[in-house]
Amino acid sequence: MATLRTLAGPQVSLRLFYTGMLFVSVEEFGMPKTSIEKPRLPTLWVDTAIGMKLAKVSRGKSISDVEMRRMTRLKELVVGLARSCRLLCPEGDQELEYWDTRLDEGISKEFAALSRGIWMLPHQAAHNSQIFVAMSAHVRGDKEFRLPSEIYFRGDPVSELRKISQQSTLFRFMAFRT
Amino acid sequence: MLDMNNENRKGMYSHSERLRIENNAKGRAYSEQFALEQRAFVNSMVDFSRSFRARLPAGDVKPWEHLAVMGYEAYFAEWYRLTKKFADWEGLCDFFVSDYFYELPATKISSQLYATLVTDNRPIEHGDSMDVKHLSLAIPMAHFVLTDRKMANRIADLGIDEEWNALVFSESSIESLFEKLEEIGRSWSAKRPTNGATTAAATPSLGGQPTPAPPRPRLPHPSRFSADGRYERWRNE
Repeated sequence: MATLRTLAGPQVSLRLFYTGMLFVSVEEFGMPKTSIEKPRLPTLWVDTAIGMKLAKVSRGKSISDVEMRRMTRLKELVVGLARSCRLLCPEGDQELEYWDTRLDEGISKEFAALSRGIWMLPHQAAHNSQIFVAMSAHVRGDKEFRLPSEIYFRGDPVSELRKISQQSTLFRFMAFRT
Repeated sequence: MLDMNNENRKGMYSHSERLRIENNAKGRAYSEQFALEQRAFVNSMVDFSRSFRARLPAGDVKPWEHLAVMGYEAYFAEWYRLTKKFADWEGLCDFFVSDYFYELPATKISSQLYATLVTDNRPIEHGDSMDVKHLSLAIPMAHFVLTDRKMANRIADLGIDEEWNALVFSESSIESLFEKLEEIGRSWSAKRPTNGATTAAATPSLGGQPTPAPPRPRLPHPSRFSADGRYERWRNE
């Protein structure tokens, strides 16, 4: 078996087999491996449809008992964990999705309660960060590249969450003193 | 901008639904549509740039189109920084049709989900296109994702959740999410971090216990407030 490597760009290498007849098979595509990094705290993403249901519960709109029970439990758990800095539940640029709907203010409040003010960067900004990492790997011909969790946030969301929690503790302390 | 977004949202929905009907009539398969979705980024960049350049001398451009141009210019600027090649359309477009771009989570997930939506027999729902956009960032970023049942099924069918190491739940499986969240609460209650150990990682491995972080040296407490947000502790001191 004779092996001949023909480079047709960085992504394709061909292998030539001789077994009585000649044919070419693709040995490997050299596809780059993308590794991702998630935030240090467990992170939950809540879709807009769930935010709408949470708003319905808060506003006392008609919703089935099962849904009401589920939504109440969800909010209780997420708010409790986020308040004690054990869970990140960031909000994305979802207001573009629910803006100008009947419940827009309510949905916004629900997401603010779950996220405690932790926001992800807008979709385009995060996508661009991914593109720039990949572009750099493409130019260098790296076989692997890593997407850090920081590309989704403006700063460190975990530190931000802790800062917010400490501030709210201070507010509670002040309220208690007065 | 929000008004424009509202129009785009409605336009996106009607475009997607029209495309789905056409695809069903043509019998277009998922794999074929997926390949088209992957190339959609570079195709739209090239088409838009040609059209913009043709209309610019007559001033026939909308304000938002300048923003789009600025976005594309950022890619050329970064490409120039890396390669020292100015206005290198060929090089940049080669990147946008390479696996480096196709394997990006935002590109891959949105291509997969959108190709599924527009080749499905079921009609597209109003929020679906926006959900695809959000999920393409959220799935690789988050450990847990809570979405609607149809989208959760699509994600599971395509194996996106496993590929990007995320647990995807819908309302029908929300009890399992509650269990996971309660597990996080329990594991952290046992080892409550102090201010000195604020960056302890508790990233749960899928289906397993959260991985405890290596202990950090304990620093002096900066204030009398406990990091867990409770004031009862110092009140009793």
